[in-house]
Amino acid sequence: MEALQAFGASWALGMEVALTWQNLWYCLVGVTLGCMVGVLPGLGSLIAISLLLPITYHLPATGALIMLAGVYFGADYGGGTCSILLGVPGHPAAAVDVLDGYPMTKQGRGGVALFMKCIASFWGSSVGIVLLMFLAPTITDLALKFSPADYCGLMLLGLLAASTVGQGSPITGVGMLLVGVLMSTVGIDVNSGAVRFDLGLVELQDGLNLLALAMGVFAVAEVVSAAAQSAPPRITQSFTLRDQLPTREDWRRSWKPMLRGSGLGAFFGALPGTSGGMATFMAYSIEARLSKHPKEFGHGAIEGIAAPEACNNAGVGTAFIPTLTLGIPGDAVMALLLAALVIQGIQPGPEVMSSHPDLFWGLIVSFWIGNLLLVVLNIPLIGVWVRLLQIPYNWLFPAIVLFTCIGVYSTHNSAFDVYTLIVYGALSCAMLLLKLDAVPLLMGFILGKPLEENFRRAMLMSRGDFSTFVSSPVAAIALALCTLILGLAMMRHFKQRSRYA
Amino acid sequence: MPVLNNRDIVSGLAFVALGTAVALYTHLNHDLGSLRSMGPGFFPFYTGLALAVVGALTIALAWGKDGRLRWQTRFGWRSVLAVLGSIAAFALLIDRLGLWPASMALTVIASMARPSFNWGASVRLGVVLGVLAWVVFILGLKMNLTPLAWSF
Repeated sequence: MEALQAFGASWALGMEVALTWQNLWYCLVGVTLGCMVGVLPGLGSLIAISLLLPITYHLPATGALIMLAGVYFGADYGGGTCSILLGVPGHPAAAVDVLDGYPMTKQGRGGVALFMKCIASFWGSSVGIVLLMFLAPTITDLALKFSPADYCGLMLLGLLAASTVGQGSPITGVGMLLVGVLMSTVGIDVNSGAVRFDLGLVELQDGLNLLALAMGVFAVAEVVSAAAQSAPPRITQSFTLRDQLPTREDWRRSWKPMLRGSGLGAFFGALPGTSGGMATFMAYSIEARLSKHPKEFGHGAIEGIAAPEACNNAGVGTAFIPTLTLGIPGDAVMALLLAALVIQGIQPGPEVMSSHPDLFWGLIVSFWIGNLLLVVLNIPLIGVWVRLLQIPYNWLFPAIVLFTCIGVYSTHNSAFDVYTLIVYGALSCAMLLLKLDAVPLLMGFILGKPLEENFRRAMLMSRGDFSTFVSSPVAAIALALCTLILGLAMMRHFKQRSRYA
Repeated sequence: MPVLNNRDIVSGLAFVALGTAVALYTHLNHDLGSLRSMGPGFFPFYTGLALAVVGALTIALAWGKDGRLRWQTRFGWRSVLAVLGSIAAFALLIDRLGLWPASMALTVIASMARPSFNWGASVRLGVVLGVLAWVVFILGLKMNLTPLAWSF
């Protein structure tokens, strides 16, 4: 009962903040821009957020975060549109939509697939957001009692999970993670005032520019590899509302997969490193196994859209739980959102909820409003996005490079930052050649500073005694899980090897 | 060298090189301190060492898998040079000549990434993008940018 009352109070506070004209406007701008970037093939939420991060430098904190979260959700919806209509995944998380969405498009039912995708996404997000609102206060209370050693362990766990579960090889993932952590140590050390790794350049004393790094490793490589791409195929289907409405049969087949998908997503979303595909593919294969007509999967089964989309969006909601309550992100997008908080002068962690309740609850309620806006934007206005998909790539990619450069330049009005963009861009091309993943690099860079900070504090408090990492249950469990993750990664490596040998 | 045909071995070598370089540099230039009270060099020193170890492990695990892991290019050198060159042109011109010339140079050079490059079309695109950037960033977002400048 008490929990329900607290829930009602936070909902009311959140509504009050999110429903001001100003914040509604930021939310609308965020979801629209996110959708615009997301529908473009190859451009996902990571690039969308990096591209739009500089704009939020000039906004108030709550507005900035609302807009960025809107961009995230928007890119997600948009990515699915691209997958379903073109059969090209807009970004990795939307890859699963290709399996049944594209066959549906070929059967002339692309509109129905898009409609169901929106409904499933909206349902999934609602589940995730309600869970987030219920669980956040409890976890925050717990987190306030965590020691620096606990934080250290949890951060390490988040980082290792995110860098070994990804698509690349786990060991090089850990390597990139360490490179990222090293990059975060460039600049003045806050404890001693010593300047580290400045290479004699005054501009490096404040540390490396996050924005240039994020854009360099995500956007530049993507543009370079897509620059020579040919034009997308023409889309000739019509998308009036009538073409989009699912039949009674479609609904009957979809509601259960939606429920199961959102449950699965909500569970996995809260765990680090599982976002971006793994859980959605799991939801897909579960449906294919439970279905009465498994042969239809891969040939336009509507369940193949409903379950993974509900799963994906429920996961997004619960992924915000560790991000907002502990200040520990589970993937690179969450890490970027935390970096946006830091840019706004707010230190992420359990204190955010008590010291900035308006921001905290306003942001969460705006997630829901953002999703509602996206349903409105995507169902009646789908024709606009379809037309956007038809923009020739030779117009698009110089525009992306230009906006990247202006964004990086405008944060400090410094041409030096644009030059560093070239270095990061070259680095990302090399990484593409070597098949190295950029996600662990970025996460290591963002979490490197707090990791060092907490490690130093933990060691200071225990007078240099490492047993502090075992004496607290939270840290001990986190470190045990870290070892488990590394062990599993090793096992996976040797298994793969014997299969090919 | 056949070893360099293996992506993972090249990555491992890079990790070892970077890790040792960082560890050496911090050891020579910064106070490491002790566990109880760490100096500025402590954390980077051990992170560098860890990176070198991970690099060595990467090499060890990839050894003998030679030839299976081939280089994979998703892009040609033409597009790499064009895109990076266009960013360099922007960085060179933005403070000296302003937003419009910088975006024109960027657009034209970036467009050279495509084999079907055509001067007329990319100059027109440069004009459109320059105006668009002016509307969005200067008029809309009130960013501190100058459309045209002359300072050397």
